[in-house]
Amino acid sequence: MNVGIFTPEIVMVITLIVILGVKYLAKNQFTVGLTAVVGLITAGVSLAYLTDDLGMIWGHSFVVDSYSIFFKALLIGVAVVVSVISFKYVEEKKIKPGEFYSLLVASTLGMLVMVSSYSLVSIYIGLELMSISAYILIGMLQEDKRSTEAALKYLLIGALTSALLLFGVSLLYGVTGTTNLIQIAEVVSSGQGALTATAASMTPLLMMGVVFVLAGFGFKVAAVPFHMWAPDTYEGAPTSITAFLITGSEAAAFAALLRVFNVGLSELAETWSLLIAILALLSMTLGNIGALTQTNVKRMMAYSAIAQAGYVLVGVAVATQSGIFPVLYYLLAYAFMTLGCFAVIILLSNNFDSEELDDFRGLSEKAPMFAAAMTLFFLSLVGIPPTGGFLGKFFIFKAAIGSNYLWLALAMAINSVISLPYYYGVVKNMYLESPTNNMKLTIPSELKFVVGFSAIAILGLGIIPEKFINLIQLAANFVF
Amino acid sequence: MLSTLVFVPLIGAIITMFLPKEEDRIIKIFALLVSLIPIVLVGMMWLDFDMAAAGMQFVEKAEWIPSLGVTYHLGVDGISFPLLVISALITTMAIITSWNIDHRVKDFFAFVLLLETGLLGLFVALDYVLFYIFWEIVLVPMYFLIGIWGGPRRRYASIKFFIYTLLGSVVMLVGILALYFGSGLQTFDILTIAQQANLSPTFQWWLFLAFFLGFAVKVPVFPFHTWLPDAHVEAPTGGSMLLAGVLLKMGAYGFYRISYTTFPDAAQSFALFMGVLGVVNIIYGALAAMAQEDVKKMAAYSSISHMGFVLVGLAAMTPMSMNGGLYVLFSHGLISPLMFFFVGSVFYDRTHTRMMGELGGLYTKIPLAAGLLAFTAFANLGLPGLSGFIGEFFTFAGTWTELPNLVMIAVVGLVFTAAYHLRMMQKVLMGDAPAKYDGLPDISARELWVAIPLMLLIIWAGIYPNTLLSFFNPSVESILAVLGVM
Repeated sequence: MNVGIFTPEIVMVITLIVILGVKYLAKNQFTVGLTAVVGLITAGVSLAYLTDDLGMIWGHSFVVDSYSIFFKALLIGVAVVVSVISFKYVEEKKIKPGEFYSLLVASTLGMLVMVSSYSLVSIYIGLELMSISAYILIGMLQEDKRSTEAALKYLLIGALTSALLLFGVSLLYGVTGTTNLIQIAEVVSSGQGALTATAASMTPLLMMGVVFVLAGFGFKVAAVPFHMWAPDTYEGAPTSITAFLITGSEAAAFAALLRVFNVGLSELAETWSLLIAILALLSMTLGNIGALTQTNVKRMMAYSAIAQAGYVLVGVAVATQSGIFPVLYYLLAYAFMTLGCFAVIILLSNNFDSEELDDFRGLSEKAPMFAAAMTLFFLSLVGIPPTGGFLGKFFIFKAAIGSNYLWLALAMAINSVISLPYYYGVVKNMYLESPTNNMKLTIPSELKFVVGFSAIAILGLGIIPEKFINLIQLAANFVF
Repeated sequence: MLSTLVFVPLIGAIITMFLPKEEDRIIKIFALLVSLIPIVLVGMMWLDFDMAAAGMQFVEKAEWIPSLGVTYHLGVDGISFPLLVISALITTMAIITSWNIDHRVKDFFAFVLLLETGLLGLFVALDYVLFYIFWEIVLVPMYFLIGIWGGPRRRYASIKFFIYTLLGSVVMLVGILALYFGSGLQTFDILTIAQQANLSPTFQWWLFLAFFLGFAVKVPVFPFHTWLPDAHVEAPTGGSMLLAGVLLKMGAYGFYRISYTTFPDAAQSFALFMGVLGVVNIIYGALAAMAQEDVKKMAAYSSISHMGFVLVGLAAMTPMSMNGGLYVLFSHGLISPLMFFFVGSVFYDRTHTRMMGELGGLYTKIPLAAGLLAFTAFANLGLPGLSGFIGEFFTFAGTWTELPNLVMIAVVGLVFTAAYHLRMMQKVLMGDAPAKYDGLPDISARELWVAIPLMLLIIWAGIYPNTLLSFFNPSVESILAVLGVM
């Protein structure tokens, strides 16, 4: 048994314990946050040493391959950025730093387990660790009723989701006699399962399993019609946690979803592909239409996240080899755009103590670079070149058209246009309206760094993509 | 050479962003100097340009995203070169026109320079991905130019412009990807696909339609034109000049560069349809222009009317009509910015109104400016001896053999065109001047720097068409060879 495979996870656990200790010793909150960042970065660095001993453990239920390393790097990066943009926010909102950062690390740890799992059970364990930590994180604004409501909603829906997912897993186990994805695939293709039935008689039960598992993941990525919790939860949660859920939790869920459906259930691709395509169509259309009328920027970003999940689902629906790579590319670009956007939102939230669209008025005069960066992130979210978001969408488009999903590609194209007005509302407020007050903004330097870095990354992904393409292609090849 | 040409304005825009905010004058002078560099480069290319060759010149080709077959491929031929001349020239003229901008000066000139990069890049891009990127880059600065520095209804006009164009261009993007897969060549190279792809007529028909939507919004072809009057009227004058002079040429350029060479079979079956739409553009634009009270809005509808000639020229597919269409593009690229310059800047800055009812008798008050406006109006209505006439004459003469019925209807449009220009001159220049216009200063030296070069070019193109035709003709003939007409 090669324990070295677990290095990043072990580092994360140590970080978690150290944070809880530092909490009592440290004089100021900044130290606690810094401990989390240092620990996360150490875990990230340890990823670099994993590549040499790619392998698996526990009867092929936990693996380390390029695919999982890609996602681990992405998720740890997201966690680092979320910690950094929280420094000031945690202080302003009087959130308990020890609990905040340790739960953030715990949630990230759950995600790391999810993306490495080759077994339905270990995926479920990772998912629960991620979710349970998130329930508490969402409710951390104790004085804000919306935060409590958000946490309760997420908890109730999350419990329901877990039940659905587990039921789906139990059906798959009942039919195939195993929870390991590779063995499931063998059983499905040979028809020799626990019930020693024929392939034909297995199909109805398998299909039910597929539907329930899909519903479980559908809740986590906030795909329509499993999205009802998302606007309230994303609006009420602490702003940095909203960013964490939209990027980290969604990416981890997509990583596991891709693995389950492409490794375990690839034989059934013809059926689940259409199901996911329908989810994709509903998500992007309803997400974009829902975003049109919002006045709170977090709520708007919540609907935008539902729509963006729809775009990613297009890639999942055609997730043959050609579909996996676009999904990975898009999730990477999406992480940068969303984190950049939320860094700007946190800047306003710290200064105005609210997150209304009107707070953006005249931002281009008060903080021109932040306004320009926000515009760039939005252009990328709409899919205007030369940004990473454009290339990501372009790859998904390409995959969809290449797999005879022309109608889905067209729907995606039309949705890009529908999404324009609500992003435009923010840009209009920033550039065309004059500021409502003369208050000078205080801009912490860590926010400048995050926004600048995200902007450069978005442009890099759009203008010099070849390096990233090769790396991600390598990761995508390893999904199987 | 071409890379330098395309990216010099971008570098200029980035440097502009770092100039001190308060130093308006330095920013303006810097932007003006940067915009002169492309003019010099285009001039140098003119000297090296091989008129006899039909193919691409000054080609630059490099790998960009090899895994997709995307290349960095630039080149210029007789169709695109005159458009480069227009882009470089009108940008400088727009910068001189915008000298009196005093609100957020730095941003304004940075956006104008960024726009120039997009325009120059679009006309030299020979790879679909590159083409699409430049196509979209043009959109963003123009949106801000209208939205920040525009007139009272700027918010509405800017978002309308953005949504219309984006809707057209995403459909085009779907077309590009369908072409990529349909051709099976694993490349986005415009020329390679045009030469080697073996597309069935039905597939071509659908692709032509997808690209048609993208281009038609930009041209604009009736009924996709409604963004244009709003955008033109609300845009600051410098923006209107670029919009009318260069942005409207993007769509028509797309027909010449992409649709006709890549989908020749579909082009044949769409020809009559495009011709009819062209005639509708001519007549409808002219009638709408005649009904306008606002001079700038009249100029906007006149642009719609003139773009109809290009469509008619494309539809007839004869050497003369295709050359004529390009000639109209070039000539309109000179005349319409001049028109907007006069009504939106020279006259508006003095009288603070664009309504014909409030203007009048300006011949007596500012004779030189009034005379030059009259010159522009005559150029725009197609007076022989000026560039507008040549384009229209060639287009109609070339179309007569193929589609005589269309020409007969379209010629009626010429009467309307003359009518609305004469009506405008009568209302603005003739009659009794209100007393409040006493003592208005006549045209200034700075304004003459915009007007004179454009007027000289209009006269030159009006009396010696050979200069331009020798650019156009080899490329037009090669397109017609692809179409199987010649």
